[in-house]
Amino acid sequence: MGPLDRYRSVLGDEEIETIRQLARPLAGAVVQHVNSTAKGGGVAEILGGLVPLMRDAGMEVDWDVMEGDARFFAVTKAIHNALHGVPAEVTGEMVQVFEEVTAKNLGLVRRDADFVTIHDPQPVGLVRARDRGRARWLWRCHIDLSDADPRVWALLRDDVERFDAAVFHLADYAQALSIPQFMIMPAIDAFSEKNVELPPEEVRSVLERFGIDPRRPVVLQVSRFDRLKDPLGVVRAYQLARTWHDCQLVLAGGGASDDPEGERVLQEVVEAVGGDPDIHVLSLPPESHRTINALQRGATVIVQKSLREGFGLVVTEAMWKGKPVVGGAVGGIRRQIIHGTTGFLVHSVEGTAFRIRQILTNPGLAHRLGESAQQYVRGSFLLPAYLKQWILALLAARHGGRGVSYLER
Amino acid sequence: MVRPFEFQNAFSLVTHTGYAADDLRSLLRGIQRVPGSSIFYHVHHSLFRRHFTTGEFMNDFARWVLLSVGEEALGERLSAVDPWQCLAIRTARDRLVDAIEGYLGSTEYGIRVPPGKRFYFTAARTFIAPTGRSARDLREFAAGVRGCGPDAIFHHFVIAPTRLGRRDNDFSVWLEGELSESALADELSRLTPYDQDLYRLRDRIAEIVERRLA
Repeated sequence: MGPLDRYRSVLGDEEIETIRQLARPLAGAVVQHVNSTAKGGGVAEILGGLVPLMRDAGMEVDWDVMEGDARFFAVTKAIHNALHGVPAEVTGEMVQVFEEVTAKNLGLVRRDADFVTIHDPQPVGLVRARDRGRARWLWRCHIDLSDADPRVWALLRDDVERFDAAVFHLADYAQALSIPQFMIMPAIDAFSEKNVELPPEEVRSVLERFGIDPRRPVVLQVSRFDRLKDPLGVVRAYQLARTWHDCQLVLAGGGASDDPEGERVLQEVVEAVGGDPDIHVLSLPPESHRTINALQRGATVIVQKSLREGFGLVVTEAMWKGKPVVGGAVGGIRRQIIHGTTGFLVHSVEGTAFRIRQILTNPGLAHRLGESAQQYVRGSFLLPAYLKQWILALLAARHGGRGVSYLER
Repeated sequence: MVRPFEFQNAFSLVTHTGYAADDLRSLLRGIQRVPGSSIFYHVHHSLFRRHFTTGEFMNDFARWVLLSVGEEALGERLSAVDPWQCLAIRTARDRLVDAIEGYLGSTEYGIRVPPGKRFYFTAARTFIAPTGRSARDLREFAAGVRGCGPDAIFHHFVIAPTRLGRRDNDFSVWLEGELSESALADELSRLTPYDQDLYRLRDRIAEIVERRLA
């Protein structure tokens, strides 16, 4: 069974047939994706899911990774931070390194491609290999540019404007550009270790392994120990909610050993927890996908109290598992949570505590929110929906124009 | 000779218009200036996102004014701009403009929201594609409807009538014009995608047609 057909059980035959029909005008089209890493990080993860689906839909798809040395990636990290609005110095020497590595990678571009899709800023300069051939070029930006350092953005802008179109997660991240800009929200793979259905006994056993009582309500936040995810705010919200309703708190995050700031935040969280035996701070290795899955499935309420969030696929994952989610009203979380329908949006510690309490005291509400959240994800945030949007982006890049176009059978 | 009904799907990609609003005046300016496809997108957004469990079919402008600007009275007025009542984009645009202009005329100051809460006007780039299914009689039509997904129902019930500036959905027009099924056409005309989601609407249409066949 092909990767697209696997989704028949989730989305129904008609949806899969619809996607196949939509892809027909692109049958045999050569699509090249280029990014800067084959493993690790959200871009590699989503390409790992998208590429097989595109192939299954009839396109000839290549996924290439540009080569760079440590100096180059130090430069692109600084650029990445500056585009995120984090102060970072990008010197003339760094620009030189960026140019050199870009020039060395120009040969990576397939001359016979119908579409070349460049992901994120690192390989953006490969567009200089663009000739007068038939290929349409798209720049897929996976990062939040809403607070980008204008000096650093100016370094990339000329290259970006050589593309036929740019693709962003949200309109909030779009820029003033001379090329069309499309919005495609990311998606999750329902069959990955992170999201696959788990037997209840496995969920219970994971909770018990960490000393979490499966018979009592569990409030969970899954995130790195990062100030922008506000783990300390989650602890305070739990402490407040706890005065109204019995519950346990689980803060599950990735390993912070290579991140001194993360280490400090983790330490502060441990101090804030004090000796509360009902708060479980779990620092898990990066590959703990199935464990996280079990924790999410075992939770009563899932919190994502981010102060800033690009999209927040962790919220999508929680919603897909039919859980009521309380999320910070920022970035992509605001696009996923329809307040009061697929979860609650909050702006403060007190608001978070109030919504946790409301959900804990009202199982009917919890069920309704979770069910609605799962349906929303099924319709909009699973990989086939992402594929569909990508097909449309390729067609829009090929056809140009605005408004409505008719496709031939 | 019956002209066959060709079932089609409509697919939309969200595009950037370059317009954004951070207060009521910039919202008004945007509504006056953006392309019609942007008004269409924001008025019918709940159908575009295929979210079929919410009964709160509020247009995006009303939602933003209520939740981000916090102007409840105007938010309520804008939420009364019913997508189903203004299938013509110009009607929707005029009603939105009237509501905001009336409100701005009666208030002295306006709140400006921070950057994270701005309203971004987006639009829909739509592709219409044949499903490959067609119908020449009522039986084939019923089977065709059963095989439709939400993209086809959205097209025949919302997008096509809006583009042609008419009230009736494609199904009713065909049933009346080609099969002289006036009563059936009338019954389908009374259905809206805002009373039920697109999946349930599909099932309801099929049930009504199958009942007629029986």
